[in-house]
Amino acid sequence: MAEEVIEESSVRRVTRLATIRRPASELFDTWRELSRLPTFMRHVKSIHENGNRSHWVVRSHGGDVEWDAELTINVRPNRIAWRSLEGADIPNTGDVTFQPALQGRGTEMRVTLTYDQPAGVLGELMARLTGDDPQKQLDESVMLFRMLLETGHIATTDGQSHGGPERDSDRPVAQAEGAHT
Amino acid sequence: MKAVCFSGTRDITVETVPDPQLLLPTDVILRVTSTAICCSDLHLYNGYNPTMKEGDILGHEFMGEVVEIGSEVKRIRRGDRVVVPFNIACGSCYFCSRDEYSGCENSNPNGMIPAAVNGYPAGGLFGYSHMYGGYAGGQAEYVRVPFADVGPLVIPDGMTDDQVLFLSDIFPTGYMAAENCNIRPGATVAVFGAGPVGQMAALSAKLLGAEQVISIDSVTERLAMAETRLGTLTVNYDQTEDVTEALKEMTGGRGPDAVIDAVGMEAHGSGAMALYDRAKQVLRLQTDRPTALRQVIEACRPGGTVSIPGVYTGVIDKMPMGVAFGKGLTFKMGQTHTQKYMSTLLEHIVRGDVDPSYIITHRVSLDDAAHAYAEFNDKQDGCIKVVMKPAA
Repeated sequence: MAEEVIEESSVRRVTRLATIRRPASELFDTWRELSRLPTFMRHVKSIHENGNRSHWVVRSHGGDVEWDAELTINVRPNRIAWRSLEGADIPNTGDVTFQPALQGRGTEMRVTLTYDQPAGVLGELMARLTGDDPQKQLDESVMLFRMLLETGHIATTDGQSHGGPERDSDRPVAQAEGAHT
Repeated sequence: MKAVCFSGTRDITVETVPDPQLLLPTDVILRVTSTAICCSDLHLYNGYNPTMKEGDILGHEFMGEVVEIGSEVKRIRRGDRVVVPFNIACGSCYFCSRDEYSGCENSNPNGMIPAAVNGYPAGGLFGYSHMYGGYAGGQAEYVRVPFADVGPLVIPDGMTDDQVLFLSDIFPTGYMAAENCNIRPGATVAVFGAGPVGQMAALSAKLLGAEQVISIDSVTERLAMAETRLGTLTVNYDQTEDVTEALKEMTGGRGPDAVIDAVGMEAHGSGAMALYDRAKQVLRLQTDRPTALRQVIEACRPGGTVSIPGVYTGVIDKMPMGVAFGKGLTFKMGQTHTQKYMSTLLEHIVRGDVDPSYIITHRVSLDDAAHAYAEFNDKQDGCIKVVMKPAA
């Protein structure tokens, strides 16, 4: 029997809505400077811009993954969107919209990312690219984005003192007697 | 520097670790002059929090002298003497702007852990596990304090450490619990738990005008302290067949107008329901023992208020919801918005209205921390509140 190749693909879409206490123009400008995205998107290693195009290097479990992308929407201060160009291992898009929030509470920002997963490579490549959970990855990026915009810094404890074993990675999580959660 | 470190369940070590550094331009470094052990440190000590790591520096009740300041710090100067609130708040987010500091969205670098568990990213805390940010605590000779323009309160000259140290946690915590009771003239407030938070709640209820305050506990030293220092009435639940009835006897047959649960999820209690809770918690069928909370609901008068400063972290069952509904109770609870209350309470201390230092029963050096934790945990030797003086 001839081997059947299933050509179906599926689009994984993750989205997050957040209200941030800064004007839309400030939020837009932070996203528009794509090279700054790695500051709050921890899985993105670097982005180099060249006009409307950009080159993305993203950390993954199996080594770095790279692709080229282009801006598809660039309307200050309402919306910015991009999509990967032909040849990306996982074709993907990003779309960020900004709207004034009610009662002067800042700006409502919605971030939507899609990953077009060719059948077959879905599990392995997606896991390599986004870890276990692309939604969690986006949620963390939005959390760090808020810290950066509202306080000017991303809260950290990196480099603080502690006792116990020397390196952080060696420090075991204590055995819980009663489950906290 | 020396620091009190968590090394595992009921295992405290005092270690020599590197001095803290400024990590962000909004940080300051304090030389710690006084630091206390809190009842909630015992949750960590007894292994209730799975996100503690070996070597984590403990402590969230502390004060000291500012010895280093970051380049963006404006309000605090080198040499200032400050008390630091236990919860870390950015001062800029939606919640901070509404004085709801414990809901701060920007202070917890590990906010994704509580968000995954509870659906919201809880703010950061000093010395209180990685789910609350993993910040090194203040039971040490020095400590890094982030968002230094938001939290630390400068203390005027002439005040002793002991007088103002508890502005860091238990005084505001007790005060918010009392404020949540919506106290009116003639009110009776019953406070379950006469430990440090219960003491501060009873003191605050008096400060806010309660006519009668009743302290309920089984530890005689705590009840004696509340009675002699605050003038509260007391009920020892180990010597009382029916606490609810006893409280009715003291309130003209109706029950207290407001009842405070200053016990929380590690209630001891007595009777069949207490045994049931303990067994279920050991079997991990429920995370918290709501023995005190049930009693509080049963004791409160119809239309009254239940205020909960005692800590709950998970799920509970067998709650008398029908009683709560039938009585039309109001519930108020939550982590303290410490920053909201500190300066008001400092004024009360400066004016001499109150002096929270009366609860200190033990003073030890950092080196004796392991022994002090054990003694506090077992409530031995009349131990109610331990203060350590790292700089002494």
